[in-house]
Amino acid sequence: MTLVTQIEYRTSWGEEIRVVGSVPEMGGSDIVKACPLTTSDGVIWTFSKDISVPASGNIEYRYILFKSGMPVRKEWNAFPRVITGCKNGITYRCRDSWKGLPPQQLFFSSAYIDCWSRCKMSKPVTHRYNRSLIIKVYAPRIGKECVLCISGNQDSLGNWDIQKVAKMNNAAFPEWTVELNAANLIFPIEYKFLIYNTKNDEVVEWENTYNRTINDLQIKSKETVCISDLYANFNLPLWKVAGTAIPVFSLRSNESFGIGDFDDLKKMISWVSRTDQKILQILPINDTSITNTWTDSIHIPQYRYMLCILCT
Amino acid sequence: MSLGKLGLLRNKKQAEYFSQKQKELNALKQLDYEAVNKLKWEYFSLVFKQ
Repeated sequence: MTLVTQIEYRTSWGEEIRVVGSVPEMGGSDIVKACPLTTSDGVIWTFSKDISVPASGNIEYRYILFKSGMPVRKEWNAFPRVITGCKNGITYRCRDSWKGLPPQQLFFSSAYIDCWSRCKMSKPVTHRYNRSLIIKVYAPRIGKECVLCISGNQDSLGNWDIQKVAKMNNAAFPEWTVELNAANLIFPIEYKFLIYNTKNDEVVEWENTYNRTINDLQIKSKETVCISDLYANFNLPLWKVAGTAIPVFSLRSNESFGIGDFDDLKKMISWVSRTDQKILQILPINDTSITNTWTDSIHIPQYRYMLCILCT
Repeated sequence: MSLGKLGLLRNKKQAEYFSQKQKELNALKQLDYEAVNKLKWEYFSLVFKQ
């Protein structure tokens, strides 16, 4: 397979963009072996390489800004950029953007992704078309009964008909993807993302921005173009949940030994869960023993990496 | 963790003493941090030696 990636980054004199990926041809995840990209204007950087498809079929990669041969800025890599289902003989052209910390980072936390918004996952996308266009977008705040959809001026996007919007795939949640058959696309493409409630069959929210556009990508035979690192813009109300704040030592039960301990915390968690609360906030539980008297405070912990001995 | 999960004291007298203290401390209107600290440390060292 051939991988051709492109990223826009306005570098200063002496800076260059490099890419490091999970395959040996891209440094084997070793930042020291990161491959330099080329540019003619210091803005659009490109990388092109023939790569033998790894056994997993997946290639992960990220960009790094180098200055005078030293890495000076890395991408936010909590959710790495991945090309899935790579096949031999295919050219993958990726239009990437630099990934910084996302807006509203809370919704990318493991608490939100794995716990509060855990939703049904789709199977990963497999590249189905001879000429293919893949669009990837981050949208963590979709809700359990909803899916992210895409609507636009193409047959495959339903021609703006809300009955025919295309559902996106969330195998890499919070990233959603859609694969389109490029043979049937008419450029320029105009599209928007929307949240669709599959239970009530209704649109919950459209993106509150101008239509997104894609100009002619000239996708050739045996070529997959991937547009990634997008963020969906929904004007959703503030996220509100109920919870309890309590210090662990206050959770005294019949099984405690004078003060609340970690076992009591488990009981508290069960209660929080049973009463449908979403957050339990406690005071710090680092080790505090300095003088072993009342002057010891949880706010001046002795050891940041040790748990409070008293709570055991 | 409750103290019992660290291991139970084999010495019956000691076990009885700690269980009595546990009831007293749990019944207090206000937490007695220093007493808890002292007793828990005693328990830790006894269980550790055991």
